[in-house]
Amino acid sequence: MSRFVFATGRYASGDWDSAPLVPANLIDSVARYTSIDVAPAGAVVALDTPALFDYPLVYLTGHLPFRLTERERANVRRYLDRGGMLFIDDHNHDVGGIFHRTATEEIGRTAGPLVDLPNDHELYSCFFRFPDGPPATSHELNGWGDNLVHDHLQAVVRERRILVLYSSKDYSSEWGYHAESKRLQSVDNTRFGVNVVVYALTR
Amino acid sequence: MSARAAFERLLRLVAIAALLASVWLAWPRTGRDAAGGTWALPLDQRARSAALRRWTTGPAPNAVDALVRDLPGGVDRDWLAALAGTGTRVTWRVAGTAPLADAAMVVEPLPDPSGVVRVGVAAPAGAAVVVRDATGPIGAVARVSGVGAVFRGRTVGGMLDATVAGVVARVGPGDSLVLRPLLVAGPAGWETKFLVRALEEDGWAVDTRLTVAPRAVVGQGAAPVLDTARYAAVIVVDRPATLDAAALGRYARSGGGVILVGEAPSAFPDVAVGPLGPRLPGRRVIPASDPRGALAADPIAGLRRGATATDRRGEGGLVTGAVRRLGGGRVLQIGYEDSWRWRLAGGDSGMAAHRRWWASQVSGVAYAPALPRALSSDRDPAPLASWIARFGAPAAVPIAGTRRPPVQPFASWLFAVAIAAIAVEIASRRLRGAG
Repeated sequence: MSRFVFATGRYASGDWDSAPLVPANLIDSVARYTSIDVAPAGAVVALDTPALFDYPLVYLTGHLPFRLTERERANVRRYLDRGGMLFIDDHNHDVGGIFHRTATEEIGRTAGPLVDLPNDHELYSCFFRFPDGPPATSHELNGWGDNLVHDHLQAVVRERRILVLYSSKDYSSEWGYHAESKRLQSVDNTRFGVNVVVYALTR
Repeated sequence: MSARAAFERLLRLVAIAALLASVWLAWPRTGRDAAGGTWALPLDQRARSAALRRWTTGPAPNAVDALVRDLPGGVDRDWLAALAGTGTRVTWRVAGTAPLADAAMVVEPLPDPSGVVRVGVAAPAGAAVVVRDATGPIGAVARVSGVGAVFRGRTVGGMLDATVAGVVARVGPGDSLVLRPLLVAGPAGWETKFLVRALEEDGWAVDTRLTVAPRAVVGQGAAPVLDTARYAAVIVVDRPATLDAAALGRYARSGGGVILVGEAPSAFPDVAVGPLGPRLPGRRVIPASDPRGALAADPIAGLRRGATATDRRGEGGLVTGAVRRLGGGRVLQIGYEDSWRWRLAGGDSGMAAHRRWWASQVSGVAYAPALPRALSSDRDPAPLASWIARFGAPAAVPIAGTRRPPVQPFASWLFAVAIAAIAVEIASRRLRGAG
């Protein structure tokens, strides 16, 4: 079977490529901890093209207003209906920020309402275990952004499966470093990214 | 006597006559019709039933000559057979020049949670066949090109009718099947994820064992014990670390269904239908007209003895699907890679088509013990065959001396005429002031 390719979504508005180091870092983690056959390089896919359907998991992030075009919105709806999953992370780590406000509105319009994901959801135990729910980021702990530790991730759930996983925790900053630097960490903070990939591949 | 009084007297006479006639006609006819002799069985349904009733409650005729346009229903047929069983000779002929359609049907429930059945109808070449249940036709009208037609579709239960040139064969829905869960084992990946989803959407309960790391398996459902008492079929994708080859072979030999996908035939060569040949590349675009033709494939290089190809690809006819028996079970080898692309990138119909295809693959091999269902007394799977079995081949000419039974009298109509005449007569007298 074909390899898993980590795909970053490109959208017309905002700065879709604000976290260029995240894909390589997560690919490294997936290869490091799992036997999943992962492609060594990620891919960038435009949300308004048929190529979107080649990547059942797509990562989106940004700082700026997030607004899909009609063409992107229609394509993303079809993508989600057929089984695709989006992982959207607010690179601002700020619920009052412009990305958060526009992204949550756009998600509601395109996919449905976001709800808090319970911290005992299988997303937090499908590979590594996170008994307290989503791991906090250093930006939250340092009081940056809205000076809050967000207790939950949010999701659009259909038939018990996550279609859109939305994070205000700014994993894009947390994971935005060269993979070689992991050796300097006592605990690899990208482990939760592995769970997102494993969940998408198995549920 | 005035004209009006004469009219009233006439009405009285009509009423009395109609009343007497209706009573006479409605009186039980036991012994009134001549016993013995040879009688024609009427074509008309009501007249036919009346004649059968009369011959049953009164003296039976020596012989009955049945002229049939459409085959009488099961009740009349059985009634006539009962009459024949008491000594009446029954012969029959076909009205008109067209022979009666020889139709027969069988229904086989398939191992599919959505209630799919396969209906086979034997019928003459060129005949149009319609199969329907209580809610309407199942599939389109089929024109028989060989010896019959096969229908596949969902039913709501109840009786199924197959109509061929006016002859209606009827059967019940068949035995109930016990459908146990499926097990999907393989590496975590898009293929395992989306085939599990397709089967769950079709109604199957699916246990999974998906390898994500050498010592990490993500699963849902109970720990897999390969046993036909637990699983209807096992679907193996590539090289799962969680399945033992010997256990898989035992499972298949004991009656279980096994589906091998991707590189699984190389991992389980003793179970496989055949070795894998060189890989065929897929295409970027998946057309709705031939979606599987755009998928990458691992054709089967050589089929084992007794194996049957179920899917071929290209002009060279490379085998991309094949099935064989292994002991009491069946093994299906699917040569397609990444069928999940069909679901996601196969257009608006791709998702449903991908689901139906996987459901059909599973139903072809799944182990599903039957719970016998009581046969309905209303079933009539082969009307013409049943008719000939009871009454023999059609006669060329009628039996000499055949008489037609009296036309069914309309006693109720005569009674109504009597009442109407009396009412008019009374009204006329009252209106002219007479007592």
